[in-house]
Amino acid sequence: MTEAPLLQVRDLVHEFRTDLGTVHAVSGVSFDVRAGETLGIVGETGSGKSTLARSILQAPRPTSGEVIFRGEDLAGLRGARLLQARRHLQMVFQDPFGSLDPKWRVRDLVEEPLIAYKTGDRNARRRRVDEVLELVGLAQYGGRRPTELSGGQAQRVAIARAVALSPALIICDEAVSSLDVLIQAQVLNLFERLRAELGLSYLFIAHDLALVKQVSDQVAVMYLGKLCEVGPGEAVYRQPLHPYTRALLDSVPDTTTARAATTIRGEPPSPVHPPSGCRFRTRCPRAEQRCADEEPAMRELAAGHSVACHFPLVPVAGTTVRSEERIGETS
Amino acid sequence: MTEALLDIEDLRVTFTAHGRGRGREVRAVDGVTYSVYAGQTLAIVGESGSGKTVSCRALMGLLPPGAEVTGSARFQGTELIGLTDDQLREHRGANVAMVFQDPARSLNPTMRVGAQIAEAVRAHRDVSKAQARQRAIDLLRLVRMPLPERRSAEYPHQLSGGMRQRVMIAIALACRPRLLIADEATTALDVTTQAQIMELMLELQAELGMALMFISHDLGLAGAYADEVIVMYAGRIVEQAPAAELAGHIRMPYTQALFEAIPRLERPAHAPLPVIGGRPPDPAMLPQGCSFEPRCRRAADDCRAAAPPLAEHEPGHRWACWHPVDGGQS
Repeated sequence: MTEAPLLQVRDLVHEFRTDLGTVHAVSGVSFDVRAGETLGIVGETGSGKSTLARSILQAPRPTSGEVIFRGEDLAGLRGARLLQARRHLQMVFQDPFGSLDPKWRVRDLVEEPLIAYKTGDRNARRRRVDEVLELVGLAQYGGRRPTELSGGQAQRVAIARAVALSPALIICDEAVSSLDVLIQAQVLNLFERLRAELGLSYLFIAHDLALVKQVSDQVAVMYLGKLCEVGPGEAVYRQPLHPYTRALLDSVPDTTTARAATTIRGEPPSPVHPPSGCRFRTRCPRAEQRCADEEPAMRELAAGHSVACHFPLVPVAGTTVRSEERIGETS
Repeated sequence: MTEALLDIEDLRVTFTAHGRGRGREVRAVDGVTYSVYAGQTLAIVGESGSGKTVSCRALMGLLPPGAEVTGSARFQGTELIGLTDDQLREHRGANVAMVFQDPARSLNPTMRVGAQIAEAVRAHRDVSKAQARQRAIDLLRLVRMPLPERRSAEYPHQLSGGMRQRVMIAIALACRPRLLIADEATTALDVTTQAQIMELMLELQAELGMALMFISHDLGLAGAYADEVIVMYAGRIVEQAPAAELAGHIRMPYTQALFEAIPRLERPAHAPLPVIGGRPPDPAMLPQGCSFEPRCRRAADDCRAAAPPLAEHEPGHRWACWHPVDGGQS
């Protein structure tokens, strides 16, 4: 028997009402994050990936579904109990300056979550702040204010705030997307070092597949509110099963493999009126009538590698498609 | 070699610093020389503050007041540096047009997109309103906008980011420029939309016989779509080569560092990215020697003593380094 996953998201739905109608931002998403592992979620604008992140934090609460974190369903918790559970679940956003009050000094910004959770006395908190600043490589910057920091340094402060309370899981929503490539690499390496040193898990959300694969054990691909493929990062890259994953891989520019040969046409439909059946079918080169009539269920085609597609890109020789019965046993 | 469309020689842009180091000269572009040929796709790659955008804005006369521009930029023989605002306006659009990163900010939110394109047509050509409107629809068709008649009557907020960027390209092409400059034009877009817009620009370039210059922070994008790549650091060109040559033979350690730091699909997960420490130098306090020296693994005493000149060390391949990668002393 293996340990229960750190985070289990089950059939999560998040809808909002707008003047244009109901936005189906997240429509029945399920996945696990195991302790010490990183699950990467790749999705483009409008895929619902940021809504998914906020909905896990219950800010705002999802329309329905379960978010079981360390054995407790966050959706069922209120007030002080939710606050206590969330202490172990922190988030790092894209714009570091947006989450840092420009008037505060770095050391006060990092101390703030410790005060909010009434952790230790003043001396103990100060020691923890020094420790955490050392950890993110900002030991000399405690007296600075956010306006005196570069984007990369500000993101390190945001990371220091997130790790101050020794969380079990950090949700990163496009946390390195706005940084220049050299700074981005430094911050990615920092995330990896903290994972190893502190035994952290991450839910790492970004639009860049190569970036997500770099830090993730498992990769999930999200399109228009639903997951279309989940599997070990290496398998998703070497042997994508969903046509959308293939299209994403083909769109990645690369100096070593000349330019992308094919790109998918058109743009994602509106999440207010998502297509019937498979949501990718309107742009899919393999779509048939069945894709409009029937929503494809997520099924496991190779070890730990699942796809929601009626006509998956069949794995090349060497891997066999598992039978339906076997799937039940593995979950 | 055919005659260049644009010849830039020792272009320099300086500002006067405010705040810390006030009164000091900020050298945003510090002596840049290159040529752009008809039909060529040239990428200028660099990090924030490398001078890549400022150098291109200087060609368009789009710098803030207080910027001092020296050197030469000849477009088909005409010197652009020192032109009056009126002369520059004539040059913009007709010869060179630019597309920016954020189409939402460049478009007027209260005006239908067709009317905005028609306005650009009428700014340079003496045509009736009806003709301009028709031309706007033709331009939308040219940039592969789905349902061009219907889209021309819509407002920017009704369009997706990719469609808005198509509108910006339509406006840029209104007067059939000889050179299109795309400044991080696909940076804010999703990867699949980015691929579509890059493909579109290359197709249009071939159809219209334009030169295309794109400014990007992304060396991967540059290598994949450009013929020629220029890498800038701290206001200077540090390496230039045909994209195919650069992919296999990076010589400048800075380009190497940029290349290695890009997350790649082929890399195994969790493998640490090779990184360099530090940050680019303050353009108000550029060092006497090589500006990359403080961050460079190959740095030696000569690097601190004098800045290496940018020279063509191999046919078509220029770099500015005393101790290039896979080579001895040069």
